[in-house]
Amino acid sequence: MVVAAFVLASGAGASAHRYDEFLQATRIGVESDRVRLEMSLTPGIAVAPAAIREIDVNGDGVFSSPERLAYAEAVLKNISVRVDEGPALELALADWNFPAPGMMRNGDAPISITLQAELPRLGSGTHHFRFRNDNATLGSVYLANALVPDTPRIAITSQNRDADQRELTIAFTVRGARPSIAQWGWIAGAAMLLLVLPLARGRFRLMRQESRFPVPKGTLLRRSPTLTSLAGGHHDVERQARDWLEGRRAVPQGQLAEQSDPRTEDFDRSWSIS
Amino acid sequence: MKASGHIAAGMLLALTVVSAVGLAQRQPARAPNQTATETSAEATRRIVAAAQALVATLDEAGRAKVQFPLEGPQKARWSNLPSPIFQREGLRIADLTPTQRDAVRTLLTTALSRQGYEKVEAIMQGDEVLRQAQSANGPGGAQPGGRGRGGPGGAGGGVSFGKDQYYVAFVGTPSVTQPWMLQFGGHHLAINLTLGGSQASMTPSLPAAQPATYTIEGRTVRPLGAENDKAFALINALDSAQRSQAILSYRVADLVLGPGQDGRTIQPEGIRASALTAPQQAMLLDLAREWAGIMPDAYAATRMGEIKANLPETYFAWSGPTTNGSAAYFRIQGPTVVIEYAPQGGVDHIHTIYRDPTNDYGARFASK
Repeated sequence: MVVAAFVLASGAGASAHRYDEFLQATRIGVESDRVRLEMSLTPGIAVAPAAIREIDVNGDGVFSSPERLAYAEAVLKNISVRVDEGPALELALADWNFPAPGMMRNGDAPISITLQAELPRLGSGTHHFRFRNDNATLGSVYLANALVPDTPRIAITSQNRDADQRELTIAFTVRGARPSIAQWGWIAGAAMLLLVLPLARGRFRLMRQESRFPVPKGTLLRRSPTLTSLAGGHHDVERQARDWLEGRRAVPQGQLAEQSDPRTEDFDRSWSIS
Repeated sequence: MKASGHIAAGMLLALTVVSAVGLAQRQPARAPNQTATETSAEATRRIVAAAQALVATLDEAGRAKVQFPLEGPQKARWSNLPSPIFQREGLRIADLTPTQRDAVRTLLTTALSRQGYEKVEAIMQGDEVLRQAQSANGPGGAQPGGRGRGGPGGAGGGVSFGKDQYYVAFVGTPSVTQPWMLQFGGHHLAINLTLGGSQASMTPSLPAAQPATYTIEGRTVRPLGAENDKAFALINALDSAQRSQAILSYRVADLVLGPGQDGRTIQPEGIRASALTAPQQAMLLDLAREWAGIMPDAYAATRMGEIKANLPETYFAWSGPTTNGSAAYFRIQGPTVVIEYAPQGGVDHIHTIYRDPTNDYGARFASK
């Protein structure tokens, strides 16, 4: 724990006084495809010297680029986020700004670190984003708040925290989302069903008609009109079948519906809608 | 007259007196040179005249110090921090002649309501008390507590407190028609009053206090005492079901939308004002008026109307004990208002912030 080390070293302990506390404020922006964590880390006057030593490893009085990066990465390692029951999301440093050591020594200059993580594709509905800050356990006080999303597709519905605000669970809904992989599976299944059911209907009709007018063995009649039209071919087969049927029954085609089995009329009607 | 008639007449009289007293108390205080019927356009004219009067007392160097372009970094250069932890720009009171100080005082009494001016004066006086306490204790004595965003600050060194360590600045040229901003601030105080013709916005502003209670000339002063007391009265006016919605289950250690958090809007929490009774809603509005009413009444009336119109979408959240005298955080958040009150570890050091997510720095009319 980056901060814990210097808080303990300074002897500040967990005093409730603002003067020797280390404020860690995180504002969380949930977006359509990612989440951004804006962190402001502000050591109080009493803990600032230890914080400076923690960052300025070589003690030259300057926060060099490698030192800043190393500190930001150390903070990052202590932050964990996840969505729903999924695995921990991979956080990356997006931005980091450090005040000069002299300013920080005055106890009121924040270190700003922005982290972000790509979100898995989220389907429409309710989701939960879980944030936990394990950066320091002593001397730190925490704030964690969800920002109002900047898209109407996402709406925060609740925030639940532990007493210290080290943990925050944001419940949010996604509207009009692009389908997730799982949803694509359902959509494909439904599409298949829509495709297959008319075929089944045609097949059912033919079977029914075959049962009334048995087809002699060896007669070519296995393709329904629906299937034929969908396939865009096999007109000869279709014509043969119709000719054969009309010839056997010796009734006009338009009367076929009137002679259909009443027990299957609803079934036929319902699928003619689809 | 029968006894029942006497009772009824007595009750009517009592009701009339109570109503009159109530109305009188609710009647916002006015600065000596503000009239009850003053329009916002008239208020702007007076403020511009007072600003120009201050400029007239300055030499060229002073005018260069006080004046900033409308679009530039000065607009957002404010903080709760003392100088030079936070390096302010503008005219420092300590550097002014008595005549110039008088001109600043006149400007403040013109640009603020009486209640607002008294609050600002009490905050500055409190900082003077803090300075004297620090001087009495010597180096390492009383420390400036609190945190907040430093922003572009100074190089450290001796921290300056006291009523002379406040700065005045004009962002944009004082005008009765064009947008400009009056800035006044120092340790625990940031007043950002943007004027655009007859319109005004006093957000973001930061009235704070340390010490939160002090005695001067035998008089006890609590710069933010009304805010504290009205908030405790409101939370205690809620029934248990309402409290369970209003009271947050976690500690809020500081302002969430303090200095440096311009343009951010957090998800509101707490109880919606639509779930409050009419008297409770009135208490909430009265509490919000402690901030909105820092402006002259001509502007504050419009502002309060706006807050009231959005009341159904406004939330009240509380964190901490509900016994007055305890340190408790509260927040009022609606479509056009954010108010936070955050004790800094105890009851004697308070930070507050006052924002309008739709109109900070007069964004709505300054861009026209």
